[in-house]
Amino acid sequence: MSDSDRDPDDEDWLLARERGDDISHVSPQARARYDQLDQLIAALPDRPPPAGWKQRVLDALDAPTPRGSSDALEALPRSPPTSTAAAARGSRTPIVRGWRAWILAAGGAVAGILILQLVIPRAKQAPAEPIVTTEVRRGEIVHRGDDASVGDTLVVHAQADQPIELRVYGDGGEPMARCTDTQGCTIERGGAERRYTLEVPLPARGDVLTVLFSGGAMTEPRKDLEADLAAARNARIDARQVAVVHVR
Amino acid sequence: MPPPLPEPPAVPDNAPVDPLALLARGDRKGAITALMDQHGSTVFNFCSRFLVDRALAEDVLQQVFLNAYRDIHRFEGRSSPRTWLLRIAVHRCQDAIKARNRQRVDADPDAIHDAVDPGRIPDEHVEKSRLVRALEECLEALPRDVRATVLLRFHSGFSYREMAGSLDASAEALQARVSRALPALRRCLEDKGWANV
Repeated sequence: MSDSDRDPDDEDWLLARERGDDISHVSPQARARYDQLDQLIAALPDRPPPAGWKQRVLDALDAPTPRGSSDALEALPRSPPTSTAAAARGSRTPIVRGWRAWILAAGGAVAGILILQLVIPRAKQAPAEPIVTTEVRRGEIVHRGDDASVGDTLVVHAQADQPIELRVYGDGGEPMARCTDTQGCTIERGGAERRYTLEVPLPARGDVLTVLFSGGAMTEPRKDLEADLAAARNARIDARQVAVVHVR
Repeated sequence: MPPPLPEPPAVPDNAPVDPLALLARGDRKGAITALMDQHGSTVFNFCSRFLVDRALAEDVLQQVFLNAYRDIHRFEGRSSPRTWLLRIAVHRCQDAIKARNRQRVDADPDAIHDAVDPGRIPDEHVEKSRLVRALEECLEALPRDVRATVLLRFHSGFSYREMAGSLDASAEALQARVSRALPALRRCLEDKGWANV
């Protein structure tokens, strides 16, 4: 379907449809396009849960609660450091572990780190993935949660050893702030490493999204998040939503 | 010799067990087992598509039901168990994303797409698989909350009332969110060469 065929009022009548209002004025062709899309989403193949997951939950419920923890959630393993297809396909680690296992695991980890430091040569490493963290500032108080109030300030910190761009969008996808290597935020440099700090006042209720663009020179901002993501896709730039703050 | 006890009424083997009835009898573990049987797949499907990371979704799936076990005494039945569980799932998935971002761990696309192996599926299904893959990529490109809304609405078949209970938003706001998301999805599919969807 070309741009000229696109119905600019799609959102209006789709909203009416979702509300259950009469949409008989909409052409059958337009309705059919979205009916087909709805059906396509509905027909996305189901993904069966991993074998044995229920038993692992029941085992965790039966497990003795680790000292200092409040419930069986503490018995769950943390997510693996990398999520891989092999991890997804392979057998899952039992979620119940005794204290001996924890001690062994901790000892093993320490030993592993020491061995790695001895064995791996200090060769020049590939650029590391950028690190992005966010916090919300209200007066003197700063917290790391994702809830904020109107009037608070969102503070985005990023650390990277290659140029990146941060963009912050409002609830409707409208651009609120932009931080590049040359504008929009404070940057501290140390060798190849850059530390970006972007402060964004939160003037209205709604979700505020922070998106990291990396892996290339981002194009100038378009009208909204959607357009920016499309531009990033076209330019083969990695775009990743790194935080959402709910402003109430 | 005492007379034999009367037989309990026959219950078909496949009759769903009412978790709330088990809970009312004090059988918390039985209730959570019934919830896992009835809603585990729904929760996992939602989480795996929301997180775009099957391995992480597996962990979150377990966390959801452990949370449910811990809090089930507070479940008042004002929403359905499915709505209640999906509400927990949404929050746990959001926590998992935040933790993943902190750990600088990127989802491996293979982790979510490994079910589709073009080398192994019959030719007549290749096109369909490509379309599914394109749709999944378009869904993944949506903002997180929007993706959750679209998945709950069209994949999980939730009503807006149920979704409002799970997503901490009004039904009206969710309707608006969906009406904005669908054209975006369609345009995304068009950009990927699926103009006739």
